[in-house]
Amino acid sequence: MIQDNLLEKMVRTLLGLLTLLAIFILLVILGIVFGEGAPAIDWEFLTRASSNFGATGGILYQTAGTLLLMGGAVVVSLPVALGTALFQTEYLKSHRIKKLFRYLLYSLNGVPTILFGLVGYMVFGVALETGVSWLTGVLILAVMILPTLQVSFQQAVEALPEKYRDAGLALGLSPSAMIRSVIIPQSLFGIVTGVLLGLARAAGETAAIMFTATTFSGVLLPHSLRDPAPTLQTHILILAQEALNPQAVAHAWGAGLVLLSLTFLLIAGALFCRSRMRMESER
Amino acid sequence: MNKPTIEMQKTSISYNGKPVLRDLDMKIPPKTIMGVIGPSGSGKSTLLRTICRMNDRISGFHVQGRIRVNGDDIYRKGIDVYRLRRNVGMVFQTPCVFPKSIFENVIFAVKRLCPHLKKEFSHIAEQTLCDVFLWEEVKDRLHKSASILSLGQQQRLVIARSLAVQPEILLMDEPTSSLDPKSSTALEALIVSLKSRHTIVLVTHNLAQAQRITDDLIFLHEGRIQESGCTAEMFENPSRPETRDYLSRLTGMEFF
Amino acid sequence: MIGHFKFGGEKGLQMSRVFQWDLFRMGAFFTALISLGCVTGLFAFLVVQSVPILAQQKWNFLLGQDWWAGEVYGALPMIYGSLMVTGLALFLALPLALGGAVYTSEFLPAKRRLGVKALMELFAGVPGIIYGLLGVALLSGWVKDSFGLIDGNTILTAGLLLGIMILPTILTLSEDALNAVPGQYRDASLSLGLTKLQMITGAVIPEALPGIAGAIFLGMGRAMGETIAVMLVIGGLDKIADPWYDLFAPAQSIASKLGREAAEAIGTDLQWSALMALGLVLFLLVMFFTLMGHLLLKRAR
Repeated sequence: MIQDNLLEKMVRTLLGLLTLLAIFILLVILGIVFGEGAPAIDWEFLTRASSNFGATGGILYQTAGTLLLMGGAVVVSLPVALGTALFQTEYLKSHRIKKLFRYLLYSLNGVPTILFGLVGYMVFGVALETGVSWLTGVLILAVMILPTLQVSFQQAVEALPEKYRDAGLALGLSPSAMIRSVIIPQSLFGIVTGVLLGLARAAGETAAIMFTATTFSGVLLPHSLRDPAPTLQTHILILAQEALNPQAVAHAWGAGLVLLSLTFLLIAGALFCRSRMRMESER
Repeated sequence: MNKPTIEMQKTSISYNGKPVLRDLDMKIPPKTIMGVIGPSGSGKSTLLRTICRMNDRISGFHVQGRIRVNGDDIYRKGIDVYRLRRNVGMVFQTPCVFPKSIFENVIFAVKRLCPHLKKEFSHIAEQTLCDVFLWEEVKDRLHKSASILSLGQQQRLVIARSLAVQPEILLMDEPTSSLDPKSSTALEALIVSLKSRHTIVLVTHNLAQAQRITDDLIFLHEGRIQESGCTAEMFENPSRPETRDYLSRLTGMEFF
Repeated sequence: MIGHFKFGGEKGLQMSRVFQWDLFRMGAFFTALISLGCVTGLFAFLVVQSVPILAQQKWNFLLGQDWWAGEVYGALPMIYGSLMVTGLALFLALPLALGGAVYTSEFLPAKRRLGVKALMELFAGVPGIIYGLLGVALLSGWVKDSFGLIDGNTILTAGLLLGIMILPTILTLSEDALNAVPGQYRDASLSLGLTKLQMITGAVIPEALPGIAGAIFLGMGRAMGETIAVMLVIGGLDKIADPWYDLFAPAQSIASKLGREAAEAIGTDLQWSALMALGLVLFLLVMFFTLMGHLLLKRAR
């Protein structure tokens, strides 16, 4: 009936508009960060140390610090996440325990990151005496991204076509040998996806590290395990609170654009990897 | 002779340029059961779905030639597709029962298409459930979830749901293939009982079933109608070698 | 120790099922224990550290409205703040997220749909500090000017920011739930003569409801836990607004309180315990939403 068609067209248009609005808002944010940040970025900005509490100079050490924390977190977290994922898929048989694992890891994923910072400081910083340092930050972030890595790895392993496992079983491989020679090599895409997502998540995190990995005075690169490290995230945080100083704000945008670009690159890479993973498993 | 309810003239159906069915010419008389048989992949389901325009959603789908229901070309511009689909009910292989009560399932479409008939809903539900011989079994638990019914009962519920919107034609795509033998037999009895008021097109891979309950038969092979005609004659005296080959399966395997 | 093989006569090759506690298995087991231990350890830690303040103030901790460091610790204003800001964020995000989800799942062709989902996944990864910067540098000023306020840091500002933050997550998860509804449901509805709209409202959405609810719960969990962005724009005032629904008032959420006061509370006894207890409240709230969300999402699959 004509009324039905009209109604359907109206609803479809309305929903389409809502979708466009949602996308538009997000693109606007992207545009703002780019628009405000791009002017502040030049070669000097990227390669010089900051000075005057960040209002002048560059973000060299902050960028290095962020990369250090991200990288360190993944290095620490990867073996644990991989082991946990493989344990669940290869060695664990009981459904109830599998469920337990799943819920505990989902819980870990949902924990507000500020709590990681607070508890992490007490556990690592105080009890293990690593203090306010980049090591503390790395350990805290490693715990935080554990579920992210773990879920990706598990998905990758579970997506492995049966034929690979069958081939391994037919050769009489034990689960451990199977992991070593069949599963890990064939799940590489999934592992890389997980790593990229984990890096992105660690890069974006501020609350967990803002008083555990860094201090707010002119810090350069850490010299030892016990030194704090400057990061882009906390740098932006400090600069953002100097709203009255336009130069500081400009630098904050610049640092923000760098951070955002880094995050986006990592996630885009992960999406690409995941689509390759899907293509592989569909063969 | 009655005017044919469904008619196809030089019809071809294709997906993205690749033809699935070709040179279809058929006339399905009213209030009969027309069986459609043929090997897997011969296009039986596609044929059915085309008659109620269920393939519209699929991109690249194209129909050439004429398909008429009650004299009206169903692929012409301006046709009311929804009214067509109401008039041409379809039953699928596995019954798709909504996660609601039995009552809500039966009146699912009626409720939305004819909200002004609200007072009639209970009556309609009772009537259609009686028509499918399900009333006695469910009358005390109409408001319980439909998922508690057995597959055979669910299939009948689904038919009742279609009957509630009073279709003239019923298309059935292998309706007994997911049922156990006992439910299958019961459903066959139901289909035969529906013949008096509806025109039925039944796709089946069960040749014994085709022989039991269909009046006429269309044999599809490689996208074409190899042979068509009265069921009894086709089984006794198939004229084409392909038909003979296919029908000889009956002596071999399935005995539902 | 490698499992050894028994060569039985007619029975052929038999591998005896000895526990293969080789290095790999032990390693995997150990790491799994670590993973399990993290969240339980965190919870236990919060509980233990909360004991001092709860022992002293008992229910007054949750119900008290005053927070003066060194004297009294009442969490109610923060709980109120968290709930208000999360509620507002949902109110703003849901129409867009759900509308977008329905449109993407039911009306968009496959390629566009994947494009939308990829976009949402990108935006879900935007660091919180970026939103914080946006809030401080632009949004606060805009709110202040548009509504003629003294200060642009209000519940409204925080709610707006949070709404944008959780939009991608809720959209993509709800869309997953809708898309997961099997094709048979759509076929069955259409074959009865229903329109696409009737099919969506009558069959698809009801079936996807648990999954959509799950998405919303997860969004709520995320909104409650967000610290940095909220911290910068919520105003940092430990008071319940008067009247309570005044969106233009500054406030404090649990997360923002923790963010602001953590550094100065290190080393103290009671204040630190109070923050830990606050953290425990946040943990329980977020845990509830997160687990409910996953439970509902699992049912939908």
